[in-house]
Amino acid sequence: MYSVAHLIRKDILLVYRYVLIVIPFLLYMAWSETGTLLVYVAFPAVVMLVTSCTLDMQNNSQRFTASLPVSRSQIVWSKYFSILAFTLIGLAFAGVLQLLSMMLNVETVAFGLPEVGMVLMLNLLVTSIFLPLYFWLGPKGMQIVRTVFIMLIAIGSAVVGTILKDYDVMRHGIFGGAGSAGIELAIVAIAILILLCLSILLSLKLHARQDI
Amino acid sequence: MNAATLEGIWKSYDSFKMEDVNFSIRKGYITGLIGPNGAGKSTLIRMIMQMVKPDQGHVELFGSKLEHEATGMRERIGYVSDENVFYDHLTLKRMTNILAPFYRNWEADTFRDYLERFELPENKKIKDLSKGMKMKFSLAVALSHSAELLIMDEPTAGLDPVFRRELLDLLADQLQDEQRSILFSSHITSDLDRIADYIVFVNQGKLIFDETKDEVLERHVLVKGGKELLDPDIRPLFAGLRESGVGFEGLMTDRTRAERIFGSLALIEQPTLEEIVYFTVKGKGGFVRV
Repeated sequence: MYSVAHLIRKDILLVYRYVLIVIPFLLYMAWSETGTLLVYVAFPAVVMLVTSCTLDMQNNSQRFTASLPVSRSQIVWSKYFSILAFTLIGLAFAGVLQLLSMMLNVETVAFGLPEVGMVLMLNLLVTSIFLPLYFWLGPKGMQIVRTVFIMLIAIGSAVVGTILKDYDVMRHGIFGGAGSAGIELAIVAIAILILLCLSILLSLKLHARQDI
Repeated sequence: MNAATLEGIWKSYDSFKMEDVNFSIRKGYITGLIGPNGAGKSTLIRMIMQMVKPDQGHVELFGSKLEHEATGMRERIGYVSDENVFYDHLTLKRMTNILAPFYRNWEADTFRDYLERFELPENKKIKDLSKGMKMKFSLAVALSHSAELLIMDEPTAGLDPVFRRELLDLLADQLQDEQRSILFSSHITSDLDRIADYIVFVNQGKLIFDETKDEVLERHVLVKGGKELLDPDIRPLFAGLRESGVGFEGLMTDRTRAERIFGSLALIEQPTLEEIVYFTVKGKGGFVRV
């Protein structure tokens, strides 16, 4: 377990400087009042995950990780856990942003548990698709997958976030209780969790037999 | 007990095949792994590190067969890759900060001593270091967590002659207590001439020999003579042959036999490791017009 924690720490230390590049964009979104929690949290978290995976692929750095006293399954688990760590970092950033906007009397997105749950689900969905591709493709083809994922999440989080904000589905959805939207979203959440389990199993299998 | 043993290793890639390779890394000794580029040296090293899985055969580390992942075993191995495996955009300090917690026996003081000894600037980014400095950093890491087995893939490549000599002395020092073992792959055979106790020679994915260096040098002979000595019965006796317009040089793997056949008719010399590798790899097809 300590090894997984060290691997997550490694990923955070690897990418934190890259996230600084995204901050001006997020601040602009906050200032222009077009940002949503999806933009503030999902986008940076996925960027961090994809960047950490890309850095592992560059310069034979996968070999560095493979030479450490950690197992391949721990490496796979650490990648899945790191999206949670990155989401927490994103949430902390969004919290600070919300606090600042309250202090400055600027209207920005407010968020509670439903929104956090939604963001987490989205991040898990993206991770469930991305990581098996990462463990399957290796350095070849990852460049394209990386670009496509970052573009999709940048556009997707902005579009989905706006739609959800307009229709206020999130707020009255998952945790709002009775309506059919709540049931539908709960089904979506269960489907994502099943997909996540399958994704983990597939990644474990792919990485176990991969030559590095 | 051997530090590592590889038994019946087979591995196939699209354009490369490793066939039934067997060798050992003896505890307390330096084993040199030699062979031309593409012979399979790095693949074998990566098998010991469990980065590559053999199609057939198995690897034993410290007396235990590697059936599953031997995470704890890697704690006992110091690995130096032939290429930089560290994250280029990080400083040495940050890279150390990342890797040190993984090792229970990380020796911060020893590591600091090596940084000073190798004149490595902690605040410099890895991408700004020369190839030699990257190799030195890799060495400092490998030597700073009480590893019992040092596995070094071409560690002297890219190093200047002064540091190369220093490194060889340093490695010899590591064996003082006879608890450590070293596998040292190199195509600079003069380095192995200097420090290796055992030599493992691979060529085109096949093991040519695994013997003590003294046995290898004692057994092989380089025969030099006139062309009239070469006839269809003699030619097959050479492991490698180089002919010129006036004579030949050939490597034989049996000194007694060579002396019996050629006696005083030809010049019989002791070859260097480089000559053994050269003639074995070249085979019998070498012809030089003089």
